[in-house]
Amino acid sequence: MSSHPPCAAWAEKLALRREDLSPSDREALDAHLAHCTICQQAQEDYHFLDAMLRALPPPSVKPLPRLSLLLEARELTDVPLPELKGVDAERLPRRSNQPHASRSAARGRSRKLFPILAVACILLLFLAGGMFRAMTNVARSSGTALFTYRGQVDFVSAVAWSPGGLLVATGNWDKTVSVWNAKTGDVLSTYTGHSELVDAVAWSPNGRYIASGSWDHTVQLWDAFSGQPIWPYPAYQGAEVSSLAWSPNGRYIAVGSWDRTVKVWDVSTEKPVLTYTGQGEFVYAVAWSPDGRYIASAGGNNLVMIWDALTGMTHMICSYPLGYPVDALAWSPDSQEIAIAGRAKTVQICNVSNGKNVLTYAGHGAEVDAVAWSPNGKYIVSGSWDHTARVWNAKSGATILIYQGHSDIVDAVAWSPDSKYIISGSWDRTAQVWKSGV
Amino acid sequence: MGYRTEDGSPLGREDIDPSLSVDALVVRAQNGNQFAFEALYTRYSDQINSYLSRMVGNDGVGCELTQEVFLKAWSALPGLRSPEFFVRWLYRIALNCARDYQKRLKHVRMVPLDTSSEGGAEFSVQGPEEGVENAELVQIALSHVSPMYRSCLILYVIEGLPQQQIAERLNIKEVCVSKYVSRGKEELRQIYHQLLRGQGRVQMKGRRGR
Repeated sequence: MSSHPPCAAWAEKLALRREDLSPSDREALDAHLAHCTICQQAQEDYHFLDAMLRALPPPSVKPLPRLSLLLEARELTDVPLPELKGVDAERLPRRSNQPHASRSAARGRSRKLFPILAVACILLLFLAGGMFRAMTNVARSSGTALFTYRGQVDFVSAVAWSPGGLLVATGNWDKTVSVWNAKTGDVLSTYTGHSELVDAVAWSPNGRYIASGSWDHTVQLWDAFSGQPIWPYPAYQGAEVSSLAWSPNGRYIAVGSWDRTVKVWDVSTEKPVLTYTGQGEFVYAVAWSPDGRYIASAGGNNLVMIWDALTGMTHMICSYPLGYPVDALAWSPDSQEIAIAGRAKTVQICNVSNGKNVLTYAGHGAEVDAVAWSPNGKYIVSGSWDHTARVWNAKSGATILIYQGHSDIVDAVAWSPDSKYIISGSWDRTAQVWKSGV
Repeated sequence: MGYRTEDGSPLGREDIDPSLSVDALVVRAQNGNQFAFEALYTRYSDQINSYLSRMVGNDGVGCELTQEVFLKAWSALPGLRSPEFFVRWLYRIALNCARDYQKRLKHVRMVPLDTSSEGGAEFSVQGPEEGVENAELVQIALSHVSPMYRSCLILYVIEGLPQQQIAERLNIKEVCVSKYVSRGKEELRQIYHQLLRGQGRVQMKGRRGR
């Protein structure tokens, strides 16, 4: 089996059933196949895999033969069902008219009494513990949202603050990027050019353009104010795009992808000028050093590769705890250190000149998915699966503020250029602007 | 055994003829007739189970998700405005359940394939085992294809649905189906190829899998 992909112009037709093609398409495809061995091979492979897929044995585990058993079990436990997408919730009546509902409710009440009492006791204990911690903890556990943006209908996976400080961009799982005023929430433009979720968003240093990367395998460059594409066609990366970063001079964009490479694209020609393959794993994070010399990349393994942005030569390797992938990176403004966040629930600061770990921040209770270094260099904000964002001192690691305004994973964070505000994007489908407290 | 609702409409099992149309069953189920919904469950649970098992690459999980899908469907059924859209609506719920499951996967540490497949090659023999191994490889490869492409592949290749129906079930444009099938097939081919060569440290894309 060869691994050469088929000719781009014929790939779609090759994959379809013959009866789905028009007679003229069939004829043209046959003519092409007569002299293209790569497409012939691809077609043979597709036929083979199709046959294998159709011959897969049926699932070895079958659902319960009668749903009523499940329904009864659910009524006994009375667990509320998760919200359904695409269903008009207001029209959902309660099924209290079912005759067995009252009987099972009566049975359920007595069974529920004990667990409720137990839960109440545990809550009281937690409350007492929480009050004690609140009195003894120096970190403020509040932080109020100045503005909550709810313009997206799915998870917010990327945020970026414009260099001018007035606008923010949020990339969403609903396949769009919204550009809006950070103070008023007025939407300036919405970019809808992607066909899959948007996982990375970055403003050009001059604040005019936005580059967005998506799981549709493309990077697209567009005007932040009008939403009009700047590149005539999207830049294909080869796999899902997970991260991107502009060079400080605005001439290049580094793009990290699940194809295990980082490609550096020339903005003016829309051509890749460098492909870094040293990562050897899915790339989840890319960051360009503020002095422009190095690019840091990390992903499916615990290694953070610091490499020369011009030559692609590896300069230094920083390590995150073994076995834990890295999800986010942030350079210090002086380009001397890099903050590494990942699934070990910690953020590590690594000195890029000697690769040594300078500080480990372990304040989060779950994986850390986002990190950003304040423009003044003094603080770091990190967002986590524990639903909080934490602002902490980059030198001492002391927690300054715990932001608890989100009700789900905090997947993206960014500082305002004056270091006074932070925007955080979350799987609770909101992006929130709040005071950094520093 | 029959029940009677407050408004006096019959809710008995005898009211349910298994040969009733889907629309009729849906309407009865919307009125609270559990037996009608049971009939729908009997009719579609295997189909949904097969779809979900292929989507998540695990028969046990697929089965659990199938039950979750029908529980959700039962709860939300009164909100379904057009009974004729029941099947595509069911698939939408199934797709959402598969996506939710894959989001939760991030919490699960996957064992890299190479650690489980390293060594032992010298003991392999030619025989019927090879066919089983191939099927397993295809199943593993399928579970690593990008979720939307995977969904299209399952419906197009395994279930043999026309493109229009796939578009309706997945809520995508019809023109996208052929693109996704094409990309899915090529992804499947590349992953299968990697697995065959034993080089593919094909790591689960569980991180933020959709």
